[in-house]
Amino acid sequence: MFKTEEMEINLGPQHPSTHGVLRVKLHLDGETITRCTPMIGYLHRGVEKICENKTFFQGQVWTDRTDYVASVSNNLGWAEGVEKLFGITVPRRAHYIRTMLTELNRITSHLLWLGTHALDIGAMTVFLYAFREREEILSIFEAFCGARLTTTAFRIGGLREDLPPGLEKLVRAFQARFLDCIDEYETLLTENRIWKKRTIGVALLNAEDAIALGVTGPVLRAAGSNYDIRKAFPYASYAEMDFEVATQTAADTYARYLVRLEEMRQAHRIINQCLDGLPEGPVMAKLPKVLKSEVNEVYHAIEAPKGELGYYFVGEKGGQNPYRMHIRAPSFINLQALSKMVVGRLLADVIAAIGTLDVVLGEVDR
Amino acid sequence: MAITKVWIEEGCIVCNACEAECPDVFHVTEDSCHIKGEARQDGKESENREEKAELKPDLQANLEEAIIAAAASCPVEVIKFDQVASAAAKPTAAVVPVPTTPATPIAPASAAEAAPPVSPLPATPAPMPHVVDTDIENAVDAALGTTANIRAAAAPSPAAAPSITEAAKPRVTKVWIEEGCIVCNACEADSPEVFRVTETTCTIKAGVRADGKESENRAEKSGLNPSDGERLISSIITAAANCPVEVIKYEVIGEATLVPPPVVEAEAHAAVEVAAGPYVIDYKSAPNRQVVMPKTVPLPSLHTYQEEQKAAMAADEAKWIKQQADFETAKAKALAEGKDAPKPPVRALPKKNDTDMEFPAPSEAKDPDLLHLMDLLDGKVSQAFEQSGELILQVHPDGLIETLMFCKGDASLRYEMLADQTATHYPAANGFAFSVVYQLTSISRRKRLRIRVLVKEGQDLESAVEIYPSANWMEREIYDMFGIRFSGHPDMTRILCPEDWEGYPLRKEYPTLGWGQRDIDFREDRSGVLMRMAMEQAGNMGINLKVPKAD
Amino acid sequence: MASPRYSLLRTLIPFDIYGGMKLTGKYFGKVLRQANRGLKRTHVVVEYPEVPTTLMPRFRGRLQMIKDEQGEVKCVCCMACEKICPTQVITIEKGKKEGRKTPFPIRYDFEMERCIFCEFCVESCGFDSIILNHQFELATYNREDFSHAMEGGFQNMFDPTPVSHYSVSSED
Repeated sequence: MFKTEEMEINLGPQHPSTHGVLRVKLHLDGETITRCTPMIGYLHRGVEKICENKTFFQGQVWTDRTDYVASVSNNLGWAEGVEKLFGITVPRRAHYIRTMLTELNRITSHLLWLGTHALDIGAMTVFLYAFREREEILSIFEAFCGARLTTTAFRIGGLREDLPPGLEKLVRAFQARFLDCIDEYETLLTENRIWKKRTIGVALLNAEDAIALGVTGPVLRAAGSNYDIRKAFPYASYAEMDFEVATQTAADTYARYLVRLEEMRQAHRIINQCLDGLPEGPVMAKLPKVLKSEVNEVYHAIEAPKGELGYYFVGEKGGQNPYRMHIRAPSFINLQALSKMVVGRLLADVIAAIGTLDVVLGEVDR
Repeated sequence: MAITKVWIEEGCIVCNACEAECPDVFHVTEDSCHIKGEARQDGKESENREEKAELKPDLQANLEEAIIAAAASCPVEVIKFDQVASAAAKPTAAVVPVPTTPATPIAPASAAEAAPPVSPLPATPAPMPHVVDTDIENAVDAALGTTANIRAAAAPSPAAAPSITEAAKPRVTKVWIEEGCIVCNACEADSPEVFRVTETTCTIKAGVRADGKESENRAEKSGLNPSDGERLISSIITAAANCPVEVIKYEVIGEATLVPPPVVEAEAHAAVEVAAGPYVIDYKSAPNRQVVMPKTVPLPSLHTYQEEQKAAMAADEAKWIKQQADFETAKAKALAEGKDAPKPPVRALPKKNDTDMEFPAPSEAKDPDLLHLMDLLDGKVSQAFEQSGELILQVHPDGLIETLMFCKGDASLRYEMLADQTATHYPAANGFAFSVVYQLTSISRRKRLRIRVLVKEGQDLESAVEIYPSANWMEREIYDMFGIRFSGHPDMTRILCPEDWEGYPLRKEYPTLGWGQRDIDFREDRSGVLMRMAMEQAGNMGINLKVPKAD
Repeated sequence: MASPRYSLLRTLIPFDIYGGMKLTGKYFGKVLRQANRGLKRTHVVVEYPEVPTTLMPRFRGRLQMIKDEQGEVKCVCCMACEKICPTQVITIEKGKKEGRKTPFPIRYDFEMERCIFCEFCVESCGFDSIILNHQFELATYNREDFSHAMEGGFQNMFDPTPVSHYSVSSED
């Protein structure tokens, strides 16, 4: 009398909760998901191909546009990757400033994640509070390099210019009130019963699966692993910084929320250390006027807000362009775990799972 | 041709332009620009203004282009050089001054026939007897005041830009609309007397046609009334230029060929068929998307690096021996002639590196992981070395899965995560076409390792999904971008490109400009400024080429 | 975890909801108290375009050419900006001018629709002849208005683009 059949629906690519143009093909049995296939590529621009046709200097502007909410981290990955390819030693002051800006960028990225993720799940208010602080950091970026989003902040061999006068004051003013702001977010969410119902036990991914699927960043650390590239393979000036890796063991959406909040606190600590211990000296290494590479290949990974961001370069003898450039995008690899997280769960949990993975489609598709 | 002498006159502004063009010869210091000692016969480093020392013979021919480019790029034009017809001839005193006005890249007349039109009007086909077009080009030249003489010398048209009334009165003989009209009303806005846009198609009006019918005029190609063809020429050209899909075609003649013989007409027709619109369908034949294939194989390896170093050292030694021998003969000659003995040669010291850059040279594998893997995989390892603080192990494709299994399973290795997997295309290589690299990370031991495999064109690799599930999407991406297939993969389909995409984008033979992309010659008229100037000039001559705008 | 009795109490009395409401009420009251009273404002919303925004000194806006004190164009056509530009939006043509030693740009085109405002051109310029000015209201109604050049009927390279009146309210 009743006919039952599996239903296939598309989530996205224009659904607001998919953070851009992610399309997820879902097979539903009632409201339970039996199969989940993310379909990507709507934002594919061929960044790798473009960068092969631009010089090492010019290619940096395309990294702004892969993960556009964490462009400073991308700039750092590009600059350090090229420096590793050429064997360039960067002055210590430049390293400190880079570290400070990258940590500020981590805060903006996590704030954007917090606001939109909470908005997806149904908590409206925290979005406004998160964007209030994000604006302030974007003003700091504007003061440092002149742009708020597509920063192009660093140069190969250091920085274009030293910190502008007054920037330290801006950062200190932000630092003075930021810890209270995190407490405000916690007041709104951490004990909130609706938030807990929507996140605890949702989108589970244990450490073993996460490592097998190559998932890195806060998603891996919420499953109990303490793998953080800032500690494991220190770059920039992280080896001189005193901070802790935030971990949780529950491996669910709520644990990832706690990890990211704790990462913001640790970022706050690192920024304070950078400001206090900022060494004097030049900010740019001595370089020849035209950079010409030798035959070499490097893979340089940094801990971006979303996970391990790696740049793979192949240099050609006498070449001013990279012979091959590849971006190991954390969002791309992390998105593989989506189907593992949601199969057997309810449809509403897919929204939470996409939000908790913190994917940026500009980076997934490149 | 060769350049024997280079010197720098007074007035250098230390702009670094020459060093960027030709770093082998020029060196820009804080306050002046020098000709490098390594490039000069006398070995001194100075501006070479007084002494005018000659360049080294081996550099004379090799660096000719670079020096000319550097001289052209000098903003104050102080780089001067002597150029002789051949290296054997004695250097003459004829100084070849740098042209004061560097010519804009305009093709000579013969090349212009073959190349696509460089005219400012994008839609007009070039090889036709195109009076209006030529006039506009001349008008542009006159407006710019620079290129008119060049064009006048190249083109058979009169040197002075004649106004449209003095020249032979051109008229449009035929207008037709090819397939592909998108019914956009652009042509009717430009030329309402000729075009009418209906619901489904665009037609040529009956009032202007010789046969009096109203249709697209595609099959019949009936001519326009002569009076209408003369009166409406500018509006028809504008309409054709503004057509977004470029389906409006027309034929123009001047007064001299008012009644063209059928042969000429057929030729003109053929020319229209050949001329490509702004959308280039055959992207491989378009001149500005020709791909420059790499000639070298930048595959880092310890073996090649050591061989290169050895060869460089041998060349250096041979050069030194030759220098000494030259000195001996010169000394003997000088003694025989009773002159002073020449200065003994000084061996050039290796270049001092005053920058913060030091090339990370590859070194022998010393890491215990690499040694352990080489023990385990006896015979399947092609090479193992360390560079830039990274461990690299190149294995034979047959031993790849075995290697990955050892890396993951061996108690002393424990590389749990496959962080990244990607490929590189080496079209110039012999015996292989791609290298596929696996970046392994050991989370528990805080170590990284790179496994590299060389793959032939069309050869399948074994999939690593069984060992490292994260390889799933990365292998799909490699297949999508390079066309390397992985056997045993659960879902070997494209991931970023659409399923029906042709070609593999990250191969070196794939052009940067793709299908359907507008074919703009950026260097010629990037911002449309020349086009606007042409419109203004045409307006002064009484032709209305202006696009009617909303405001 | 809390004891069952405690969690029953928490279920009955929504402390967590109360905490959030209190925070929201605090900010609501703060803003309400300061509204139209001439007090020091603590809220962060800027009333753009009625109130002009403040920009940082390093802000990267539109490309603009500079003249020196004598009204001469500073550019000497070294083509460094044209070479470095990642999107190739600059076109320069070198020429001569009477009574000027250095080359003179007879054509300096800037195509703003593809510009990504990275400031590489200004960085590469050894003569300080170009800057990125502080203009950010760059939207226009015509595509042609994105083409900038030194002279003629298009946007001028030497002056700011006259577009800001579109976004600034003209009522007051």
